[in-house]
Amino acid sequence: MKEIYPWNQTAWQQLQAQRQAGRLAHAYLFQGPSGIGKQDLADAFAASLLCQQPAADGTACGQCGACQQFEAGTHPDALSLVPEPGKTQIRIDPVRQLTARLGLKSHQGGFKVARIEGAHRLNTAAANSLLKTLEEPTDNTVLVLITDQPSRLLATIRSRCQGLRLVPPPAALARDWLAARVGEGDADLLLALADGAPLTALALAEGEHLTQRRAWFDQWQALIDGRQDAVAVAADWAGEAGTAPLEWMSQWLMDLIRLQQGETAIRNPDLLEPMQDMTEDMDPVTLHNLLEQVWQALRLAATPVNRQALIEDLLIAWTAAGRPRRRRKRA
Amino acid sequence: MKFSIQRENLLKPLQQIIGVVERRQTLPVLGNVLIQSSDKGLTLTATDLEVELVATIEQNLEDGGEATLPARKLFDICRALPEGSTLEISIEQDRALVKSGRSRFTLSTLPAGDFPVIEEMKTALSFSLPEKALKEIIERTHFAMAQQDVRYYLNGLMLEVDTDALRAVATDGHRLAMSEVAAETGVEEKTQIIVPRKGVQELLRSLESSDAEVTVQLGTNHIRINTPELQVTSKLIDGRFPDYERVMPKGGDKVITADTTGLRQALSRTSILSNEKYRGIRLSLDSNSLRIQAHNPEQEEAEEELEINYSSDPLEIGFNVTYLLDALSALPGEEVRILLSDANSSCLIDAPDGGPNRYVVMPMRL
Repeated sequence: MKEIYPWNQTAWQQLQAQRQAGRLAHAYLFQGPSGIGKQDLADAFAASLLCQQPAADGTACGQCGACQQFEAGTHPDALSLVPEPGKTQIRIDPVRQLTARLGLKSHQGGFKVARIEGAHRLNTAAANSLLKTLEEPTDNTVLVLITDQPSRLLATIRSRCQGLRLVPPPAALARDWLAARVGEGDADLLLALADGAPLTALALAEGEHLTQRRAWFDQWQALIDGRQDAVAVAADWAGEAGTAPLEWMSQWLMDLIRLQQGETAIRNPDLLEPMQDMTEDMDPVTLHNLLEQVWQALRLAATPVNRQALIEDLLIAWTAAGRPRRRRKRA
Repeated sequence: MKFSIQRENLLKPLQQIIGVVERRQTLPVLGNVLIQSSDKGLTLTATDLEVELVATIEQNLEDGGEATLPARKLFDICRALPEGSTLEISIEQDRALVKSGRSRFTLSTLPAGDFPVIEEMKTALSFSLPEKALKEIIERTHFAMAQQDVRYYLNGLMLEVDTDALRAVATDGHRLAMSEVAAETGVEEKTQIIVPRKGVQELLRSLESSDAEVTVQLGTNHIRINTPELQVTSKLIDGRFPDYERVMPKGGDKVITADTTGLRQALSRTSILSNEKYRGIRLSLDSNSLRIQAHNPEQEEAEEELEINYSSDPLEIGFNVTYLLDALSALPGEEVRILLSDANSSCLIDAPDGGPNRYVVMPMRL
């Protein structure tokens, strides 16, 4: 069964109280930053609505037929909408299928629950075709829209949903929760890197994410020291499936800017020393321009652009920004 | 589970249920057919979550059990095997072994517990009627169902169970089709349900024009129809169907009677040159004559005159010719009666003596 994280308990109890009182909304909008368990909360909520024998506090039993089908992803009354494989948007056809399914009576006679993950990915046509259902679904239907970018939703969608704002946990709670899972040592660093989002931090701790990041940072540092070639590093970064190196680069640049302003509470506390060294010869205007350029590249990376060329362009600009530093080092 | 079966005994039921197995399913288990041992023999179940088809085969089993096998692959294997061959199927853990003569196939299975079957339904009422009669009322009305309308309750066929009759009504907001058949239903109050388009299509495919009795069971969420060979269960649309009685035109004083085939052929000839999008045609009525005219954006024109029985004042009225043709094709009998009142009111199409089939078509402003 999906765990309900301690920091989502308030929201969970609020939902269950509404259910007890028979005042469930027909559509919810779960909004809040990524990595705090919005999806898990929505899944747990759906499971609890569909469960045949929920516990007194509303949690799904995990034993009954409905719960088993839900776990296996085959529950006929649990619908969900995600972008099709290889697509970044949710298109109109799946939405039409969803609304057609929601127009039918429920399979097991109880609730019908539709979850829309990444609701901001609905394209305009898809969003508009959802409006009628969102406004007036059939009885015993609950739609849950989940997004970390609520401002990208159509106002007409937002106004039809009851908003449920989920917030990252207080630092101490997040730290304790994380420390129990990854050990005391890394918890603070991981949380800082994840901007306080515990699940993102946990994901970072698994696998080689941190080592990988360190390797990229070393390459990045080597570039401004003139020890590595921008084209070779770009080939390496462009080989990555996602845009992780670029996302880290934007974090590092922001930290450099923070350090220049005299701020020492940065997102990458483990890199404080090398970064402080870097800032000495950096021109603030150049840094801001570079940051703009990285953001632009992140937007472009979702399009069929030549990634090698895109990253090369960035790294050459970065290497150029290190010219005063190299001059100083030689002197 | 283990059994051996004649190819033909397995192929026919598979053929009947394969229709609901979609090629691209969101859930992998929906691509499978559920095979269960029962007291009679074997049951095969296929579903797309909207319609469930269950076929029963009388068969002796060596060993009972249940499993799900890839439906289309099993069907293709069955079909490709030579006529009269015997299949030996044994299912162990997550593999199913199919042997026939010198062919061997190993299929992967999925747990039967993941297969979403419709639980025993709470039947609110149940009655039986001849298979032919049920097929007929669906055939005579299904074409008028709406397609992907936002008014989702129109995307299906309404079945109304009355004390002494079963009625099918479909409408897309521009035309309406209604057909009824006498049936001893034993209900005290009229009950309405809406069967979604997919369920209607599967019913049309599975029902045969035989005199055998089929039982119809209505639950709160499902309709189940048991034919001698197959059990069809469909989900229902969750909505209220519009009050069709109010749509039936009353007080039509202009009566046309004509030969159905002649009128239909004249309309379909004229329709060739009607606007491809709006399909408008103009009907001009005078005493005992009907002129049908159509023209399209290319300024091509068609005109046809027809002898009919008509004795009221002259009238000009426009219609979407597709709606008229659909109604005329579905209406049995040699003669058709059309009741009109004026150019802005809908017309009622039925047999000269009324009869169980009625069609309503709204006029068009030309």
